[in-house]
Amino acid sequence: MTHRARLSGSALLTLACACGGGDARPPVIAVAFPGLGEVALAVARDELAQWSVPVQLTYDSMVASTLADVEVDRAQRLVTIPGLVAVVGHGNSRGSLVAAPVYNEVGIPQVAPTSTSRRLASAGPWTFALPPNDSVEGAFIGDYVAGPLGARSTTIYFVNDEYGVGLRDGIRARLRRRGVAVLDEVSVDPQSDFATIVDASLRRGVPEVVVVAARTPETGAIARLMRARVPNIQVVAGDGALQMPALVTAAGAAAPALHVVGFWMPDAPDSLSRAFVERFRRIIGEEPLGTHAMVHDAIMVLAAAVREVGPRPAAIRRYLESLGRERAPYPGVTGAISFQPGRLANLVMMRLEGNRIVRVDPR
Amino acid sequence: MTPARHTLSLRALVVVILAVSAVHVTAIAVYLAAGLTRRVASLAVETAPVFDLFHQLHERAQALREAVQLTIEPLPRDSAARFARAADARRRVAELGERANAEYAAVPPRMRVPLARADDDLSRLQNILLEFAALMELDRVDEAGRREDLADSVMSNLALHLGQAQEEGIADLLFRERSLSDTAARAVKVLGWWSVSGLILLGAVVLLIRQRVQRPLIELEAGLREVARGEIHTQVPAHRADEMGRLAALFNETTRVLRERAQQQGRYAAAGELMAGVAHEVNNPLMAIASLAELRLADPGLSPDLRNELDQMRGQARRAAKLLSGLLRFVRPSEAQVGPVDLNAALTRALDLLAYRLPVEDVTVERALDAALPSVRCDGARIEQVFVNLLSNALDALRLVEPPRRLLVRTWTAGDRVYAAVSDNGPGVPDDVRRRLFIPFVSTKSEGTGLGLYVSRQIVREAAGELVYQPDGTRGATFLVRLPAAEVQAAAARPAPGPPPRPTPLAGLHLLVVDDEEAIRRVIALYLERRGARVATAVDGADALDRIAAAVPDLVLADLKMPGMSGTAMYQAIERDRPELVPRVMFLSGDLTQLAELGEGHGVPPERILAKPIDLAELESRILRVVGEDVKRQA
Repeated sequence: MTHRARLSGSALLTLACACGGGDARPPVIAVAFPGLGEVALAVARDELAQWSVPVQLTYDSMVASTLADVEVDRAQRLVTIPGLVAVVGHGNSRGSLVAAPVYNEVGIPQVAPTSTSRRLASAGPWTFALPPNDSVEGAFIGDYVAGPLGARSTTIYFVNDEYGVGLRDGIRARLRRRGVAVLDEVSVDPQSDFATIVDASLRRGVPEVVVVAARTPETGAIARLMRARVPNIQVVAGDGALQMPALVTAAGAAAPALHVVGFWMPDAPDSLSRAFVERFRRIIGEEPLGTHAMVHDAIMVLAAAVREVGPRPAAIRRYLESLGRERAPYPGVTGAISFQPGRLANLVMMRLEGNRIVRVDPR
Repeated sequence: MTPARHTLSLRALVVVILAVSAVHVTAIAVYLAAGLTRRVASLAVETAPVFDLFHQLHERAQALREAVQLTIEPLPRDSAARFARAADARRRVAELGERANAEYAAVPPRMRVPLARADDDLSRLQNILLEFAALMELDRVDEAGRREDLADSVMSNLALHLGQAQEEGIADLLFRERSLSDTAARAVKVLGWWSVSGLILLGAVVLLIRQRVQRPLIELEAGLREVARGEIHTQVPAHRADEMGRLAALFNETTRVLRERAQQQGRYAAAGELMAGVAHEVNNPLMAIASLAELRLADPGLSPDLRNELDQMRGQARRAAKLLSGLLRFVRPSEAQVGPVDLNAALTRALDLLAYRLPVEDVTVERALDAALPSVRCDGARIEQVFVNLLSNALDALRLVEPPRRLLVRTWTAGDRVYAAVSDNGPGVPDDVRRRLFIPFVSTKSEGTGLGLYVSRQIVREAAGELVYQPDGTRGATFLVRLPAAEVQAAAARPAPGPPPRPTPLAGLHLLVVDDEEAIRRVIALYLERRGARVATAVDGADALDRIAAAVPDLVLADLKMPGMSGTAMYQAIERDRPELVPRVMFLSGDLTQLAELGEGHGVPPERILAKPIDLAELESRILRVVGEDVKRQA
């Protein structure tokens, strides 16, 4: 990518908070979450306008990627922004992990809104993961497969990166504990010949449920192929697949067979969620997704840190570390936010109904 | 002499030099630690992960290449064999594990992107192999063969990305190496300048020490050497107002005081010489008067009035002679003669010496002398000098107060110590003076030398004693002399009672009296002849030697100071020509210091040295003793 292209691709939406206005440059929080992050940022900007905290939000719109080099490059560029005090990102576990060393080197707090890799916990003192890790999510999926779906055998498809491998391990561990046979574990990537590998895997064994620890395109392709070959099969996917409406398109006719894990649902009854949904609808004109809420919460917890302890990155880091310990957890839309081990996990199983997603009744 | 410049003191200078040296040395250490060491350490720390990562990726790439070779080429014709190959490929790929999940934090930022790409290439290659295996499982051999091109393409990409990472790594290493070289070169340059500055600093320190310490010390040493040679007019320059300058000033002040004292001592010595001469001249007539009176008193036919007058004449003459004798002892001390000394007698003699001041200054003397006081072992003349000093000081102090003025002298014993104290009811010694009482050249008297108490204490200490000021809480002052008691003399040492006195005890003795004073010579000869001796006389040493040559006497009684040949010259001639007569030569003189002419250790025992004036009976007794001892020795 040329320098010019990079600049044009990095159209920065700079939204200054109305309050404050001193001579000093306001602290900058960069949002490195392409796609959904832009929408979440707009909502957060609207909310921050009510605060008396001079925070600039900068959005990095460079295309989302699972390629490590793209994310490393993104991180190396972001840390050169003058006044940068924190980063929300990146868009997936692999991106967050490969970018973490860059932020840890320069001492900029990084809050990964949707990255579940347990390896983020050891990525460095400046890196914080908002959602529960892949062990927790894997256990949640395993319980769902063994419980509500009642499956006795599965095949796991996974992307061979930090997200897919981590989630696969978590699912495998819980399935074994629940006595569900794992017939095959198949590595995929976006360029895979899905038909071939699905057929080969089915030749090794036909599962009752397929679990996919991959992103939207891989999940959609596998769901379609499986549904075509095994008509009643159910496909359970991790949070990485929850890209709407892309998932609906990718799954096609197999959409009704899909069960997807998310971190939040807009039907959440608490007041913060209701306010967020209302604000989101007002500004964007759509129903928010769980990812929107997660990115929003990541932005807001960093803004709260700036409001509480000032714009020094070290102070922000200490603030994040203290949540749930010296300080009460931050009240986020997706739940009480802290970064302590063993914090409560807000996980929801969802299904596709037409173009929308609905909460699966746990019963 | 130019006034001393006010500069930094030596102590401050030393502190400054030490501080500058410490900063200089510490700065080098800090520079090396912060600059060079840190860079070297970081090079080692940051380079290791690069190699580790390369190693990891290369191993994985190599394993995949092998897997590709094994899996793809050549494809077996037999489907069962292909299926087995597929299973083998799946197993090998599984063995390779997942993505390296490279620890990008540890590698230089420039390497991260190509390494990440290489990592992705490896994952893609892994999936291609799995697809290949899947195709063989599905017996789609032709399609599997086409995957070979895809694998090659990914392998090429992998090689490209690894190559890029390698280039970046090498560039990074070269950059670090250059950086390290630059740092080392800079360090060498800095250390060079630092060493030069250190040498300059050292030179400055040496120069400073030479100027501020060495030169003044050399000057001071030279000055001291001059003083040691007796050149007390020496002065040294005080360049600065620092410690060395103050030392030089003190040296100059010391030589000034020494000069003043020397002048004073010179005057005293001259006065002493004069007094000794006068005493000698006065002693002869005094002895003549006293002896004549004594001779006349021996006449039983004298009228009582005349006897009384003669007795008074003899008494006054003896008193005057005693005073002169004391003065002579005081101003012309002879060599130290240590022996048993009666402190009571020494105190009494000192009092006698100063007795002339007592009525004039209206001073009452109280004596509390222990009659059974044991003797002490010291130099009698010098201990007498101590008492004269103490008494003189007391009398000076008493002048400052109104009568009644009392002077108390006491002696006593306690254990094996003998004490003598001189007390007065004067104003006492102020506290500030008390601490400096025994320091030389410290005096509260306008014309005092400041040496009296210092010298007195030295004399007492030489006799293993101590002289202290002893405040008793009342008005006045008390000085205490404490000396160890001498061992009790054996009773046998005392002269045994002799036979009853004879009317002519000197009968049969041939005596030669040598004195230039005719009155002395005549009266002594007359007395000795009356006591039975045969007496010849001579007017000086040469005359005496002639007389000895004519007839050897049993004993020679000679004056010391005589015109012509002196008594000492005569003695030396007798020693040379008639050594057998030496033990029978006695001296009788008003100035016994003349004996010094015989040189140190002249060997004349004290019993053969008599001071004028002397009681004629005492003279007779001493003559008999000397002759008796020589007879005993010869026997």
